[in-house]
Amino acid sequence: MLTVEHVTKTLSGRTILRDVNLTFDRGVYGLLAPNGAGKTTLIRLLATLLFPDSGTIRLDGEDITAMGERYRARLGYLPQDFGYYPGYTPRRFLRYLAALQGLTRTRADERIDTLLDMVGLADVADRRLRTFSGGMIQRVGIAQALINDPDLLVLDEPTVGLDPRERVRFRNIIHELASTCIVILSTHIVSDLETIADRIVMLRDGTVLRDDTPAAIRAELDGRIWQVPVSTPLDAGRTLLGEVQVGGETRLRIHCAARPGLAPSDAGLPPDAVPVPPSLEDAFLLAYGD
Amino acid sequence: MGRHSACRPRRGEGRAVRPDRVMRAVFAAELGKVLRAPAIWGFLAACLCLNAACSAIAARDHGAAVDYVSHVAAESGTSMDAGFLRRIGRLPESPARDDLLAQVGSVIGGVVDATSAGNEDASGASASAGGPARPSTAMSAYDGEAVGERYAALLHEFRQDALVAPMRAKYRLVGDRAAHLARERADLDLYAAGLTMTVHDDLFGGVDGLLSRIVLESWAFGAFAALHLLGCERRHRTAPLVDASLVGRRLTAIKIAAATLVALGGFTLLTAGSLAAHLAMTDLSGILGSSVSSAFNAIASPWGSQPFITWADFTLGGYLAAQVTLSLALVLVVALAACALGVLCPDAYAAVGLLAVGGLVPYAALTVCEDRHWWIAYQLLSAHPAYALANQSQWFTDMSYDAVVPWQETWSVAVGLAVAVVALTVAVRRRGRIDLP
Repeated sequence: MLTVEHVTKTLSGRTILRDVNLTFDRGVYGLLAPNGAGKTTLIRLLATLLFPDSGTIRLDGEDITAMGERYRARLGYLPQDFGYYPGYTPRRFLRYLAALQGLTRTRADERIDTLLDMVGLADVADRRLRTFSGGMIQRVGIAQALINDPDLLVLDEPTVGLDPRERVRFRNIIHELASTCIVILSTHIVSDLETIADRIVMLRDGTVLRDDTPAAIRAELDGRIWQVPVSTPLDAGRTLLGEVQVGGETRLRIHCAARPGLAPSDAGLPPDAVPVPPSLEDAFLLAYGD
Repeated sequence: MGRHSACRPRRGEGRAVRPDRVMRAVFAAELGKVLRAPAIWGFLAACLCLNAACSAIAARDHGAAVDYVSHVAAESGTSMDAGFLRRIGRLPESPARDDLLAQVGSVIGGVVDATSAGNEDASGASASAGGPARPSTAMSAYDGEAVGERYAALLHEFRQDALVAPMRAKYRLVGDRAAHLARERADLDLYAAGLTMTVHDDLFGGVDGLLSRIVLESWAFGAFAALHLLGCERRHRTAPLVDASLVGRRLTAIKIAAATLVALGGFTLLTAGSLAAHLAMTDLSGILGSSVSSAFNAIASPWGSQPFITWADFTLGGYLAAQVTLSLALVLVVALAACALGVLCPDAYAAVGLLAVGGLVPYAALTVCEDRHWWIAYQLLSAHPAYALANQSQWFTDMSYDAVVPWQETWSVAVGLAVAVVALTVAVRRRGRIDLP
């Protein structure tokens, strides 16, 4: 179990995280917030790249700073801006990172073959990374995060650059790991979390806004999300969430503060307004404004 | 809370027992990163070519004459006395032989008739009663006390009175050394006869000297290796990956070890290759056993040249070995300083700039101080590696104004090494405790 206890972090005079308390156990956790909300700072604290100004982060009750290498031996990390050596091949690059993780050459080669196959790069294992697309590079990044078979996997914006097929592959990988690992994904792409996250942590102004299951977060909005004609006035108590195309017609997707279960007219909406199931993206837009 | 909160690792905290094989494997990988850079080998090759070219020019200019002297020394020994003159006199006639006779004769007095052989014992010494007469040389006539007083007067004139007492003390010791060297007849060793200072300068002199050139090349090479390796992760944006790995921030120490090994390896390659080329082109084998304190050798003083009085007895071979050893230490100082800058500076170009400024500015300051006779300021700058390089041609001698204590160039390098080690230790420990970008 990974616990974040009363962690505060200030960078360049600005308090990024303020008295944050979180608990992570086996499963997939999504850190959801807009850019600049503190996701990456929290991720970097978990990766021991930053130290908390106050508070503690513990793994199984032990301070991860004090654990040092024992903690990092159990950590797999994919940073937001994943760098690589252009002149290296994926195999050579992963070998180097495996050496940094203390793997023997034999064990590393086994893991590398398995991981490259898992991320669909087995055929290009010996091509130089400078020839790779962004998505391929990101897959190498995912592979390196798993090189040491970690108990704790921390991924910062892992699906950047991945096409839809690669995203599906990625979600499958995470699903497989979730039963044995703590997986923490930081992202601002809501759809990445909708299907795979067991819990969503939403941050705002350096504090935890919400820490709950996706179903619970969506359930709060049941009956309050409507599709309405474009001409519907956005009075007080109504928030525009987006536009949708329905049978060639453009309609608005809005949040209405009226009590759920009311008829459109009782809710002050046009008669052809239709209640629709809420999504995680609705919760994101409502929590963080535009 | 500030940067030094209780949340940061304390010294030794989190240090697991780590198999040596992990460190060795990572060390080998880091070494490979540097050694695979084409610029490394290109630079070494260029330096070796440059040094060989300079040696070729020297060999073209005076190699034949030096080869002759070396051959004569190998056959007839290096100690100049009447017997030595006679042995030279019996050599086949040639302009080179005549030059050598005149040069040796100028030191020991007169030219002995080449036909008066048979008056020598097995050692080649004169058979005159009471043993061989000792000709007077600048070394045997050296008065350390008097020289010390002359320096004291000059320093007083330059208003550098703080150095008067140490300079007097130093020249008392120099006087003792001169007397010892004279008793040992070191001044009566041949070295390279009339070409001694040329040969000495070819090897040890100024920026034109082979060893000084090698030191400068090794500085550049070592700095490149250090900054290339320590800046690698920032350059390729892989720092978060490696810092979050099991080895983590300890990778910095491994990189420093690898960079230092490469720097010293580069120096060794340059020295071995360049010396091999030099010695292949100019035969010094016969005179390697000759004392560098020969009467033919000298250093500059405010009153002209003075004997080459060393703090220990050095043959040319021994002096070369000592120069190479201290040069190695000097290269180590700069390599460690470059490593410290590589750790501290977020930008490799800034590190290069700081290293260049940190080298050139003190060198310029030393030059200005020397020119203006600001000897106190000069001595304060003597801990900087530029001081040792600037005085390489007179290492292990009294070094005139440039030193106030014996072996000052050695102390300078030792202090520089200590400062570099401390700076590097502070830099590495700091990196272990700060937030990483």
